[in-house]
Amino acid sequence: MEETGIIKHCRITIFGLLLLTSLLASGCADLQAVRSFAKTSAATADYRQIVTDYVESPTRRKRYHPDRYAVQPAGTTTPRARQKTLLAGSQRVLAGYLNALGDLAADELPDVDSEIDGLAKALEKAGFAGDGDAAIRKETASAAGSIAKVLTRAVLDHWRQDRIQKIIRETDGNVQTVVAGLREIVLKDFNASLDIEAEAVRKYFESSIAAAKSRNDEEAVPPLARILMQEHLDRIRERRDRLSSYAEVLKKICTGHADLLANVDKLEDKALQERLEKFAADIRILYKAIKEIYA
Amino acid sequence: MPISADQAREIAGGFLEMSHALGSYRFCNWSRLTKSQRQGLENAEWDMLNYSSSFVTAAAGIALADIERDLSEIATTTAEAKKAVATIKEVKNVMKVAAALIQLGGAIASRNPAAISRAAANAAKTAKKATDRRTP
Repeated sequence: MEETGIIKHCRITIFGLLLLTSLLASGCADLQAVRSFAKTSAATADYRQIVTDYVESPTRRKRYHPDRYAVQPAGTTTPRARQKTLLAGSQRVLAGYLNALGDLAADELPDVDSEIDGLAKALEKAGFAGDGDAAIRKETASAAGSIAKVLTRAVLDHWRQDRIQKIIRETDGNVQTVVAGLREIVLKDFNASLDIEAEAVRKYFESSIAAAKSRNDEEAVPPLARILMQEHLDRIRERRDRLSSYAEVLKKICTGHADLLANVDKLEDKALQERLEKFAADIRILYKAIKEIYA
Repeated sequence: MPISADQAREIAGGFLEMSHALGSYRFCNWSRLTKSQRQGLENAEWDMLNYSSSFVTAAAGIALADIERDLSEIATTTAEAKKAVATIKEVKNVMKVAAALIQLGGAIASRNPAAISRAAANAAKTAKKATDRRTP
């Protein structure tokens, strides 16, 4: 009679544990979309070529200066070289953050099965589990081990989700400011630098055209100069296209992160996951476009 | 009072426009201007272009300074996220140490000095390995 009571109690306990385990396991979030968005963003945010383009702009411009023009643009070259470190550093910090967020949302949790088996063996070896006078029966220890495997994974997953939520909440404001700041620099200052470069190209070739015209040469030098000017301006236009694509990448990162914050309590939400995957796909397309402009 | 990034951009734009306007005047009136007048104008154009460039650089510098504090906070959070990833990975080590400690407990319960010594050495070794893995 007493044994039946113990068995009943054990069954209720095991049933309770199984229920808890299944509840925890069912609460495990699928963070694949968060990971995909963060990792893709990280890979594209750190695009250094546009910084190099900006920093080298005064040096490129020097080619168009008349030889007699004594003032060299060193006053701009040196500060821009210093800014290169800061700009690349900003991209690195942003990419580092997105990478870490992606790592935290990574699917693979450590496989603790062998460690839990090790624990069960340790209990048996120490005489706490096994046959005879041991405190825990071998079968019970084995069943507890199986439950522990699922529980550990579930607890780890919940803890991880909690960390991700905390990090997104804490960082979104900073991410929005940094990305908006970088975007502004790219769209306004990098573009303005290209405007100046284009004006230098214009001055160089228009001088040749005007000088030729004043010598009544309308057919030889001017058409050739115009073709060359167009080629040089086309290179500047390609740099400008890269800036637009990169600014668009930054905008997607900004919007995607804001979306993460807005839905931080339901990261497993299907609609959010679809949007994040879409952001990641768009960013990949934009990045490919930047690369193709260079090719 | 220091200027803002937008003010620096406005000044840069102004110099660029002036340089462009002077250039247009020089090209349109090329034959009417003397060589020295053209050179004088061209020098002024390049000077203005360089001023414009300096103000663009200043604007970018000011904008970069504006986001410095936020960058530093992101760097702090990144370290926190990396620590969380490391903690998840450490669960394995913690379990290995726990298994070694259980064996030590069993040895102590058995009151067997040789077993206690062996289990203690094993627990210390496992704990050291886990700590070494944590040290970057």
